[in-house]
Amino acid sequence: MSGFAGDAKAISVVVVIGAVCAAGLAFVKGQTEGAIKAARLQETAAAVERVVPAGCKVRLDEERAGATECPDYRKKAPATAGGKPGCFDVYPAYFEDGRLCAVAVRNSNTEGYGGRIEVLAGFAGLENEETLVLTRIYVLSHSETPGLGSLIATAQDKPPEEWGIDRKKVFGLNFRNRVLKDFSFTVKKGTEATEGEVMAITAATISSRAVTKAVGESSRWVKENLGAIREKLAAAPGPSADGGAQ
Amino acid sequence: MSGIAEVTKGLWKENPTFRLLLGMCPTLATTTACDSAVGMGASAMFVLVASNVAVSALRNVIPDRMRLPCFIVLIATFVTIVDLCLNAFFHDIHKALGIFIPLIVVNCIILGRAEAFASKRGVWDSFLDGVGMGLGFTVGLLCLATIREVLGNGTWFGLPVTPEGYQILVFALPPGAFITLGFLIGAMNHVEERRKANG
Amino acid sequence: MSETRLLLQSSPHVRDVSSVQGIMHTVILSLVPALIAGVVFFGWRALAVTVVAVASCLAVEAAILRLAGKPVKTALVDGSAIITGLLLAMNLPSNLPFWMVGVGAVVAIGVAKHAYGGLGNNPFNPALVARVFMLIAFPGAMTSWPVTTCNGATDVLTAATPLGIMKMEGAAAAMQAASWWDLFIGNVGGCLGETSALALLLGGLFLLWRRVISYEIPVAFIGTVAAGTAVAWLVDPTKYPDPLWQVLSGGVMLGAWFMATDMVTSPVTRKGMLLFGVGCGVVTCVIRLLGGYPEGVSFSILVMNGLTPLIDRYVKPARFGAEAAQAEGGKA
Repeated sequence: MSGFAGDAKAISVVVVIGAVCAAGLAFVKGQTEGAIKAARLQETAAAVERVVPAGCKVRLDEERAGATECPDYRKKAPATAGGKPGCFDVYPAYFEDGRLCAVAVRNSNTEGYGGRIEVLAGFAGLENEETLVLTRIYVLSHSETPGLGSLIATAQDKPPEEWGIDRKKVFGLNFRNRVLKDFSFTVKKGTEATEGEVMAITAATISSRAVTKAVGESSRWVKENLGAIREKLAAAPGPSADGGAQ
Repeated sequence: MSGIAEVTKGLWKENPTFRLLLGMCPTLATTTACDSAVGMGASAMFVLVASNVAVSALRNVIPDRMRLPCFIVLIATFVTIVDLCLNAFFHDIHKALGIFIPLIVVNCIILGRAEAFASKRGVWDSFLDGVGMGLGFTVGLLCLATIREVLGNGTWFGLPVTPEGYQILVFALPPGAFITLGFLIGAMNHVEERRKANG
Repeated sequence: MSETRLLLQSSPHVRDVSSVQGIMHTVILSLVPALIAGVVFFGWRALAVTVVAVASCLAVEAAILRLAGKPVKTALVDGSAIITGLLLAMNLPSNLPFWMVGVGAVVAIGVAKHAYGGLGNNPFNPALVARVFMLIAFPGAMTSWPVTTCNGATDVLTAATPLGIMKMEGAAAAMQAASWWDLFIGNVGGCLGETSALALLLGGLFLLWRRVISYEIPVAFIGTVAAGTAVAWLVDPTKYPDPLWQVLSGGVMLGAWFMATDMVTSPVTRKGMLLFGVGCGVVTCVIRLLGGYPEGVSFSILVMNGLTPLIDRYVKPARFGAEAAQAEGGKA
């Protein structure tokens, strides 16, 4: 086949195939869009549920899943800005009667041994600074050395009751139910760490420090913005904005 | 060639993982755990069967010199469909496979079968070829993933196999993938040579 | 065996009584001081690890030879599997679980040696391949070092190696943790056979005297490490200890005298050996001073093992008489 007729035919075949494929894709995208959004919200909600106390109900809508712009009270001080540019993501959880029960705060930095570390930390006792408690942490993503730095995430998918009591074995125990006013966020080696300090993972001090720094920043932010957090997140969002909705 | 032979050749004689050595990138990257290996294999198999059938059905319509762009458009469409569906309905597997789902577009097995087989053969044969090759790829990945997950992580499909503390972490990492693949290919060549020697 | 090939080289040929077996026995003898030092500083567990390593290397060797239908007995008595086992043990912490030592033996003999065709065909030093494999496979167990028994510690206590301390806390802390004398006699944390520079030096000089190895690789290796770390020390003495400390610490002595000099995996010419030694030193310095791991000797030797064919190809021995002719011709 050659000449103009051949060219025209070749082009039109490609165009038709392209158009049919595009139409098919548009259809599939329309069918899956809602489910994808719901799955993403579900994923975040599942992580938040892990770090807030049992009995707190997680309710996320898109604003609270961190999808919208960063309001002032959530902005980071420029010096500590890292990862998602200058914003703490905060996810609320509520008591049955609708009062604010706990918040989960997402923070990240690039000071891990393998780069970026993203940590979710749960805070309860939001009445005042004295009662503020760090409930637990959950490492959302990291690229630390497997078997060494990766131990920052040991057992975190199991419920905390199964963690045991050895801080050397489960790093998350360092951040389990800590009254913030008695906790210092200083990383110490092995046996030197007191109850109010963080026990570094053997041979992974850098990873331990990076996680501790991220959680420490979140804690300080919660402490300093307690009023704003209580005010902005006071009312439970209506049933229309429930976890799995579109 | 009979229909059954079209399917079985992908399992042994022309196994894409161990004999044709195609699609090495997902083979090495997604075989750290059995469920992601099966997810990868099933996704590739779906794309392979769909693109084989589509290419074969359109083989008399698509002009020869425009065939590659057309194949790529078709394959990319099926891959995007898989990507969207996994993301919507199997979110965990989609997260575990990450970039390797979109990368199925450039998987040599798929374009290779479209070019070498489907564009020259009938729809039914192409369908069987896609099933066979897809099965061969999936089984190959599963073999690799079984060894790597059991040795490296102590589990099989997430079920504990070896006691805590008896894991050989390197098998879960890239070097372990290369070592395991090498030994599997070696074993397969050994068996094949024995078979030939025995007639 | 389908064909018999003769390797032809131009004359003159040197006749020698040395055999594989003789050389291997000398090497085994030369490792005894380091082994004794390991037992003195880390207790009987060090000897146990060594025995397990040697025994499992012999077992794997026998099993593979049998599977491949090759003669088992001659290959076992030549001592090469024993040396691989000994060197592997020297590169392990003395508190390592025995099953991990066994895995190391399978990797050393099965993967690094026989998968490449057996004795004489392996491009990489088997013991080092196994060590690096284990370092990646068991990062926790391979980096928790027992404290030497001289410091009055119990078996369970572990501590960072001097090089690990240097990486984390700088030169002052590292030099406080281990003095030159500690490093020289071996009273520091580390692999069971690498800590005592004195014992390794004795063994190395013995090998040199028996002409099993020549001076080029150890001298070039150690010299380059000294030179490289001296530069770092002059630039920032708070971060990097002095070159003597650097040469005595970690695996430099073990690597330079016993691992890098492995005949199968190092170049054959003297110039090639010098180049090989310098390369090992450079890579070691780069990893120690700039890299993520505290120690880089095993990586450096493996990297240079990989480059050995290239070195042998470009650094060819001069034909007999060619050098003299060139000298007479007045080289610029």
